[in-house]
Order: sequence, then structure tokens, then C-alpha cells
Amino acid sequence: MDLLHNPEFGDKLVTLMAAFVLVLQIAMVGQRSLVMNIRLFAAQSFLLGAIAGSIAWYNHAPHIFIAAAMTVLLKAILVPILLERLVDRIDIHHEIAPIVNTPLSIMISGGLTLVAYLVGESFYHPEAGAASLGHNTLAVAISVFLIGFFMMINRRKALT
Amino acid sequence: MLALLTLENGIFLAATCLTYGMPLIVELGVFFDVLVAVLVLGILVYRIRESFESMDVSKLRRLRG
Repeated sequence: MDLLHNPEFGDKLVTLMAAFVLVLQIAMVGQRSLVMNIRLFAAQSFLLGAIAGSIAWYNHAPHIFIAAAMTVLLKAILVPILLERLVDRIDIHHEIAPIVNTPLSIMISGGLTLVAYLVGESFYHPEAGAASLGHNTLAVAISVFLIGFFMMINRRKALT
Repeated sequence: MLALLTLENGIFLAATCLTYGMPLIVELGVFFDVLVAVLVLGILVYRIRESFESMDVSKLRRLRG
């Protein structure tokens, strides 16, 4: 019961879920099946909604709850359903044909994560007080961003 | 298209953790944008598949004059 009001625990929880978001992103780079890719995206969006929900809970900001609920509803349920229906209609379930092969693209993702942590570290000022919940989250956000760009130029087919 | 959506996830994560949420109207606008983008890009992908018999984007290079 005490855990629900302890900001330390909220900090750990947000950091843990952000780490899972990053792991799912790198798994999405390595995954070759299209349907599995969409499911990984749904899981990532669900974790994102959970992060937003816990930030709203530990900061007592009720309007973020609405954003979190809409994230889960839209990006974790509605968009994957639409995408899977599109995959069924197109009738291509198999390979997504990346330009760079899988081990090399995972290595590149690791390098991009390193860059993101270097950049995100300089934004962390604990004495400022405002952004103290989950201080690794900005680095994770930048690395998800950069790996998303890398995925966009790496994939050859239009749906991915 | 999937990569674009994950990119949007990253932006949302940065916005939530850094500023504790944008105003609600902005969030609603962003969600509506995502929904419309998925619908329109779905139609576009379907059309590419219809006319080229494949989803390979590099075949679009032949359209260049």
C-alpha cells in the first residue's frame, strides 16, 4: 500500500518500463515477420500508455490519465487491428526484406542507443527538480526516435 | 509505416516524461492525426500493391523521368 505513494518506487517503475520499451524497439529491428512486428508495436504502445499512467499517478496530474487511456485504446488496440486487417487483405505475411542484414542492423541500433544516452545525459539536472521521475526516460525516448528513423530507411517494403 | 508509428511513440515518450503532458487538446489532435495517417497510408499501400504486384518501394524508382 505504501508503494503506491512512494515516489522512489515510481521512479524505478518508470525506468523499468522505459527499458522494456527500448528492448521491444530493438526486437522490432531484428524481427523479420510482419505480423509479429505489428504485435511488438502493440506491446510497445501498451507499455507507453502504462508509463504515461504511472507518471500521471505519481504526479497527481489527472489529464495525463486521459492521454494514457487514449494511447492504450488507439495505438495498442485500434491501430494494430487496422494493420492486421491490411496485412490480411494484401496477403503478404512473410519477410520484410531489410537492406542491411539483421546482426549489422542490431549493432547499428546499439550505436544509436549509445549516441542517445550521450545526448540525453546532458539534459539531466536533478537540482532543477522538475523532471525527476525516471531520469533515463529522455535517453530512451531519443534512442527510440533514432532507431525509428533507422528502421524507416532500412525497410524495403511499403507497409513496414 | 510501422517505423513512422514507432517514431511517434518516441516523441510521445519524450513529451510525457519531460513536460508531464501537453494540453489535452494537443494530445487529442495528435491522436486524431495518427488515426488518419494509418487510414490514408493503408489505402496508399494497398494501391502500391495493386499496381506493382509487390510492396517493394525501390520499384517506384522506375517512375522517375
